[in-house]
Amino acid sequence: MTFFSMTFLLVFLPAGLLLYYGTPNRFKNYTLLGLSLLFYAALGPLELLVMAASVVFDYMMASLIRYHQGNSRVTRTALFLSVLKSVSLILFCMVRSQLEGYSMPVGILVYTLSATGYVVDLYRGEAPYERSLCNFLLYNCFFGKIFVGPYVKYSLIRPQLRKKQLSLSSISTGLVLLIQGIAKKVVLADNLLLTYRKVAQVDASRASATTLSSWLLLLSLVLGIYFTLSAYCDVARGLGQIFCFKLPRNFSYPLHSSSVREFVNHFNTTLVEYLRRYVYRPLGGGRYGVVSDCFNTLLYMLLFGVWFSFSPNLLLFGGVLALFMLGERYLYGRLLRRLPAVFGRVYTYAALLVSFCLPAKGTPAGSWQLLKNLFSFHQERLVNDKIVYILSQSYWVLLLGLVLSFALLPKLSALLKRRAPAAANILSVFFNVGLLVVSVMFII
Amino acid sequence: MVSKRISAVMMLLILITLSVSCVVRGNLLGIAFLPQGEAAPSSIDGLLATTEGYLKKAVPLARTLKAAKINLRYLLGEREQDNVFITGSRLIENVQPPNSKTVQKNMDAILDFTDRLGRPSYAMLIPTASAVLQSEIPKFADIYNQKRFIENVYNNFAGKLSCVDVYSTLFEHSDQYIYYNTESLLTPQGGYLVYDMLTRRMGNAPLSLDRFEIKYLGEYYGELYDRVECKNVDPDVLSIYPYSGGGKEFTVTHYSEKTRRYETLYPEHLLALGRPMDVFLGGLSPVVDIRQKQRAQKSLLVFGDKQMLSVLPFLACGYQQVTLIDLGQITPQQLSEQDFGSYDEVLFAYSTDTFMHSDTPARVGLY
Repeated sequence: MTFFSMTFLLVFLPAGLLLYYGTPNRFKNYTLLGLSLLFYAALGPLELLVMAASVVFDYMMASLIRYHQGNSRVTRTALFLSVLKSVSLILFCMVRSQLEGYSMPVGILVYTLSATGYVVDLYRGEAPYERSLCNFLLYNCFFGKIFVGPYVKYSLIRPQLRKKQLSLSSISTGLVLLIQGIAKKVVLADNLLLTYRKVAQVDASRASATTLSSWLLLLSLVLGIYFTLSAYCDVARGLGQIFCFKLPRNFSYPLHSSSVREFVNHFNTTLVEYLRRYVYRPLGGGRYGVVSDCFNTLLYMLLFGVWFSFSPNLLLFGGVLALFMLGERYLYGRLLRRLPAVFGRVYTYAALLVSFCLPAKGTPAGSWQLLKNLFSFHQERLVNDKIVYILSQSYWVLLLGLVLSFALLPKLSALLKRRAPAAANILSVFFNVGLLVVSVMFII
Repeated sequence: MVSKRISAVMMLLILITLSVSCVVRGNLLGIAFLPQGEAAPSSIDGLLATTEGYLKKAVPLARTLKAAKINLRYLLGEREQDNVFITGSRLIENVQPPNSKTVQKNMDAILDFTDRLGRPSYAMLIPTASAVLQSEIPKFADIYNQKRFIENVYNNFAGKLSCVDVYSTLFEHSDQYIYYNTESLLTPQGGYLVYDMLTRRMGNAPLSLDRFEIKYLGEYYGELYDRVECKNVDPDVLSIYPYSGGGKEFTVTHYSEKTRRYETLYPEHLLALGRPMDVFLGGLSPVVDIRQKQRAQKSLLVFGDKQMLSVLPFLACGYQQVTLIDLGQITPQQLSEQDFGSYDEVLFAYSTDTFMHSDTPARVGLY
């Protein structure tokens, strides 16, 4: 069951809402945990078992740290075991998925990294101990954020776990976010990725690849990934609000950025923050000079790349983004800031163009070929019938994706709210209800 | 915030209405309301898939919403949806490239069977509309070259089976109503063209078209329309071509779980049951036996698919007995009970789509 299915929308969500709001306040967390476990069970019994075993193990390590605070050997061992468990579990699943073609257990990156992050924070004394296993499980396994996050610090969630602030405005915001996320996925992301797959077939062989196919391949991939991930995060935030959790924003118009660093900060924000917090800073960050900064940035960006999937190309993807970020910090950042913003944007798009050639293909050689194709302007290889046909079928989704990937809509909405608040309100209602109808249309 | 609250209340109302209406229709928990005889899913995935399937059908206005999506996408320029071309007034399935292993398996089984049976054998691959009605396919669309595929298969059969090329004939008449608008099948008009070519190739003289009466039964929308309900598409005209020369009466017997018998090639009463295509011979069964009451000369064994339904009523006029075997439906036991040695001629007649993607023809090897 995914969020983008009728089973979720018409069965799980209404039943979940009824159960949750029908439960007395002090039992609400248990109900929500039950719903999360049920959601997991629907993904597969093995998924549920792996998740439960992993998170309960981290809870035990956290308890060891809490109850042996004076004994550094025990606390260090507990921390080490928690990190070792998470890293080895992730590596095992990644390698197995690569070698044997199994898909990774859903949400494994989210719950292992969240739980281990908490253990690290507890060890450092930056997070309070959570005695309740139910709250601990809920923090790590809330079904809303299980697919791609966001990664939330325990200190942000703790007060919300203890005191539920039920309000109609919170549920309203949540529902609107949820439906917007679902529409983003089923209308935009799915069609963009379908276009990507069709273009990839054309672009797979040198004989049929053209300059236009290479550009379309990149455009559909970048937009497809962005809308997929941001849709999941909107749904997570929406479900969070509905069930009384305020989760942070994870994607904030990254394609509107004027530097690669800004792009990275706005693209899966909470993951980047997580990697900085638990990888970059503990290794010294930039405190020991340029070399240390370069090494640590490169390392956490390599992990950023691998987060999507374990492959040499994604490793390189993270590496290339890191090089641009370091270039901005030490070579041409000041110059970029002095120039008009448009130069920054052009530079960012160029950098992203180069970087996204890596996830677009399966091998470095394929990516290099793609990069060359982008700028091969031989007349006979500019375009062919196949790619014209695909473009004629998919232009609307590419255009819509491009328009919505920039912050134009919120700006327009804000302008309308200032000038004509009543009209903005009416339009907003029609827009949101329309989105729900369109989403159902695209799901069935 | 007011707008958000109103939006939320309306969205909640919509979601709850949809849920409740699905409950009322008895489909919310698909598994609990499975139609009789349908096995319950054995896994969680199966249960969820069943429920999802039921919900998609049970949602109020599901068909209208699906049609609205298809029409919206059509308006935006998508002339191909769900592998179906929307060409303005008709729907044409975009047949995908063949599965080479399946094709080889089909060819090997047919060659082996022909060798064993030792009867004059014929092979006929009938191209689909996407290959014949190329002028109607959206510009620049990438369609698979079925003509070359048929030639390759025929080259493999050369010397062992006599091959019947119907591609050229159909292509020459592509401006006529030879394929249905909303179904991936030949119309009787297309069926007659195939019959004409096939009969000549088999060394017989075809009956001229004016020996058949044309009877219109009404309009209908076929299976492709269920998949892609686009408002621009014209309905199909259902017509039958009974023999008008007199002196020919037929009995059609279907051997499946129950034996059905019709005293006509076109049991029109089946139209009332909502199965328009069953008007031809009564539809498909594992074994369909057509016998001419008047004395004729030969018997013909046909291994074929649904595409033959519009051809066989013509073909039956020239034989004492024609038996159509649907290898997709026949059980190994039923197959072993057949006496194929008693037929004078054998014909393998499949749509290219079946031959390229299904190993049904290869099941002849089980005999």
